[in-house]
Formats: sequence, structure tokens, C-alpha cells
Amino acid sequence: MTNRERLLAILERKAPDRVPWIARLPLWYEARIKDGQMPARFRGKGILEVARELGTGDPARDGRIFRVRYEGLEVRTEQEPGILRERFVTPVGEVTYGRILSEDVGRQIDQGLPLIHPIRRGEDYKVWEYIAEHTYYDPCYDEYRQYEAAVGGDGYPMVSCGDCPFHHYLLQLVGYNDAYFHMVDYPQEFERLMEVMAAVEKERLWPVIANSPARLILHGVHFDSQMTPPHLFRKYITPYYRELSALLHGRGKSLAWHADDDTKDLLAEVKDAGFDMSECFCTAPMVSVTLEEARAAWGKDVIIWGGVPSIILEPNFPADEFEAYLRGVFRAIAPGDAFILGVADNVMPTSLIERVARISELVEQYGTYPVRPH
Amino acid sequence: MADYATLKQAVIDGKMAQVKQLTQAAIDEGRPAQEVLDQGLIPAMDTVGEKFSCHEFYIPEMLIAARAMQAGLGLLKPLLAAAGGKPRGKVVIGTVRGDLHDIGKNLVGMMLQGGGFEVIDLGADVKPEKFVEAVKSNSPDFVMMSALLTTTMLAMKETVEQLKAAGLRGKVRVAVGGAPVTQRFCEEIGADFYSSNATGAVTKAKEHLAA
Repeated sequence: MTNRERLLAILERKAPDRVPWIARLPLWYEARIKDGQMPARFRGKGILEVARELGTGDPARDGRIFRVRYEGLEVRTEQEPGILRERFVTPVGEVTYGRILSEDVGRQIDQGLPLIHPIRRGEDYKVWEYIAEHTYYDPCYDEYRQYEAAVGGDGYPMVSCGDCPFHHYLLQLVGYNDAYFHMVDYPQEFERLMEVMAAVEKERLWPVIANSPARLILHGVHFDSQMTPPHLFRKYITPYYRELSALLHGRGKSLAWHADDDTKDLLAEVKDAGFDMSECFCTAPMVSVTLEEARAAWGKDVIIWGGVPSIILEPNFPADEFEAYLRGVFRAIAPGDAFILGVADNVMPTSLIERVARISELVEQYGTYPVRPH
Repeated sequence: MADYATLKQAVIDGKMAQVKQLTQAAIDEGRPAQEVLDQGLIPAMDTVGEKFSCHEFYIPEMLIAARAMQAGLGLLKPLLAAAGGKPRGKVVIGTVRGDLHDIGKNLVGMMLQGGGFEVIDLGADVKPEKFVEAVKSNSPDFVMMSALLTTTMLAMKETVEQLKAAGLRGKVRVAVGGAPVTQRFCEEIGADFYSSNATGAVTKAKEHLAA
């Protein structure tokens, strides 16, 4: 089977020939290009060639099915050293959304953290409401089809379609540091914004996703036991995803979320919300939840893509413990249903790349379906 | 009569305005600032920490309670300083070089303040030399470093080494935390202690001071 066939088998709850093993290499690969320390055997090779030689596949996360367009407002981009600002100028006011990249951060990776959040004061809510109401999603399905064809047998595209309004609010619009305070200080504005954002997405974004040729939809990122604890998850996240997952299931699609935070207290909530897959699923010792706990809670209902926390690829993680950890993964996932082996969430620039190759050997050794506990 | 039970509950519930009002009332009544701190605010944050430990509270509730506590603490600080009161200990805290994730660090800082510590917050993306400079100029009891990325946690090691090179390592205890950080890593880089969460960091800091 190709990696594409293995992934599709897992999505369709069928048996693959062996456990699919797809790691994300871009951070490691880019770091080696930048520091000139690419191992000799990979020099001059593209990332996909490197992935193939390592025995892994293409995570195929660069496809898209829509482009965002705004009407009735202007987005002015202003760049100065280390700072990129986007000013949203609307008839009801303006807000600034920006990232600050230090020299060190810029050199390593863009951590994707907005350090200038657009909602900082009570009066900013009406501006973002206006922006939400004037946001449109233009399908670009041909672009997706071309991407899927280009990925070929190396993987199967997972298309990123955003985040639910509540978590987008926490992470992007206000920021974790202030969002919980805002929920107390501006309760009406907060609740109204959640309603407006959800209504716009249901009316304009969801049909674009549902009608798309994409099969595997990534929606939702970084839900965490601490930052989106069970009571908030059930109130603000579950209703949105119950509805979205029902829509997608009716169209033969699967709903995944990016799960590289600690989900220990959210296992029941994730399943209840209708998610089909937890992608980049992170486990102990990097977070507190274990693979065994997740398997017990989710069974075959929620596919796990992950199981290799990136810290076990680090030089300071002993080789014998790395081997033991991987053997434990195969024990936990036997017989191998609803499981894709992957790294949470990336093979990092400091990772030992030979351990990625070693995981491929172990997959060959122990990963044939049905996986047997050993 | 100062109502410390109500003040404590107001902190736990995150009622900032009520905390301010009750703290001010206690001050107006002539209660010593240290007493208000010791009998109202600190026990409240101890309870918040206990609720966090048993998963009754999560970070949102802790942040809201910590903000309420700080509203009261803000009124007490000048009085504590004027009375010559000393904090339980002094902490220099920051997220290490190359890392912009600061929520964990902020929470630890707030919980430390709630535990009676003075906190000097260097912010995020703090270079090792800046930690060293802060130790030189503030003579803290602790340096606490946070990182969320495997790529950035290595800056903790460099910071410990720079503290050693500056002859400061013996004068300050070093604590580390953050998602990829482990007890093993803590020991490897020669830090003094590790905590996986904010309340644990405060507890361990208190234990180290008592030792």
C-alpha cells in the first residue's frame, strides 16, 4: 500500500497493510538548510525525497479549498524590522493584528503567535463583529485537486479550515493572557461576538467546506485541558463542532483537530464533539495524557495521528528509553485500528534524525497489521 | 472588624472590585497591611492552588483569581513597603530566548505574588545575559525560566552556564518549567528544581526557602 492508501484505509476504518507512519519534517529540514548541517546523504535533496529515504511520508498539509476575502473594509499591511502589522480599517473603527518576531525567533521558526491582538478594549468588539460580517470564503477547489494530485501516493491532504470562534477568540483575537478577563469584563460583547462569528461561518464557510473535494478537514487547534477546560469546552466548543461534524459526516468527510497540547481532561469532550481524528496528538512525557488513556477513551471512534512526542527524539532522551517508548506505542495501539503514527507536533530542529529512521525500522518490524502486543 | 473570610472568598471567586473594596476597608479600619495579606490574600491563593491541584480550577479560574488578588495587593504594597515589610522571597522570572509563549510564566508570576513573593518579570524572549544582569542588580532568591519549545529550552542550559561564569550560580536557585521540560532535563542542566505547574512552582520555592 502507498501512504495515501494507508491513510484512506484508516479514515474508512479499514485495515492498512501496516501502521501508517507520517512525520512532519519541515522545521528540521529548514533548520538544516539554514545552518548548513544537512547530513551528507540528504544534501541536495528536497524534503519529500528526505522523507522517503527516512521511510516516512508527506503530511500533506499545504492544500487549500478557499481563500478569505473581505468587503467593506481595508487591510493595511505595515512592516518594520521584526514587526508585521495588519491594520483592519472599517467604517466602525480600526483594529491592529500583528506579530512581533525577535531575531532569535525569526531565525528558528515563526511561532505563529500574534503579539498584537486585535481586541484589546471593549470598543474593539464591534469592529471585529463588522470584520466577521464582511468576511467571505471563495472556493478554490481546483487548487486543492492539483495539490492532491501532486501529493500522490506519499500522503493524503488534510486541509486546514480554521478554528472555532471561541478558541480563535482566546488564541488570536484577545490572547490567552487577557481573554478570560474579557469574558468577565465584557460578557455581552463577548457572547454577541461568538454568536456573530458562528453565524457567519455557518452561512458562508461551512458550505464551502462541505461542497469541497477535500475528504479530511482540519478545524480547531490547540484545545488544552487547562486553557479550554471541560466546562468551557462543553459550553463554547462542543455545540459548534457537533453541528459541523454532523454536516461533514453527511458528506462523507472526516473532521480532525490539531491536538499537540494536553488533552487529559478533554478526552470525553473531544469524542462528544464529533471529531474523527486528533492530529499531532501529543502524549506523556511531553504532556500528562498517555496513549493508553486516549485509546481507552476513544477506541476506534477518534483516530489518533501521533504518539511520538517530539522530546523523545531529542539527544538528551536516552536511546534505550526511546526504544522502550516506541515498543510501548505498539503495545498501546494493537491491533492498529484508528491509528497513524506521527510526531507531535514536528520533528524539531534539534531532533536526532536517525531516530526518525529508527522508527521506520520499528514500523517495519512491529507495525504490520494486525499489530500484536509483544 | 476586617472580614477576611469574605475577602478570601472574593479572591477565590475572582471578584476584583469586591477584593479592592474589602482590602481598602481593612486598611481604613487600621488593620496592618501584613495582616491583610497573611489572613486574606495569601490563604485565598493557597485555596486556589488546592482547587487547581484537584482539577476543580483550571487556568482561567486561576488567572481571574490572581487578578483579583493583585487588585488587593496593589493597595497593600505601598503600606507594606512603608512598614518595612519584606516579601517571602524575590524571584526573577522570564520566558527564555527565542520563545514568545508567556502564559505559563505569567501564571507562575501571579501565583508567586499571591504566595507573598516579590516578582521581577523580565517578559518573554529573554536572553541569558539579561537573566544574569537581573540577578546582579536584584539579588533574587530564585531565577525561574519557562520554555514551551524543545528548540528554546536549550537556552535554559546556556543561562545556567552564564550564571556560573558570572560567579552568581551559588547565590541564586534556578527553577525551570514548561511543556517540554522534565525533571531529567532540570538535573542535566544543573537547575535546582522543576515544576510542571504554577502551584507546584510556588510550593517548591517555599520549600527551598525553608530548607
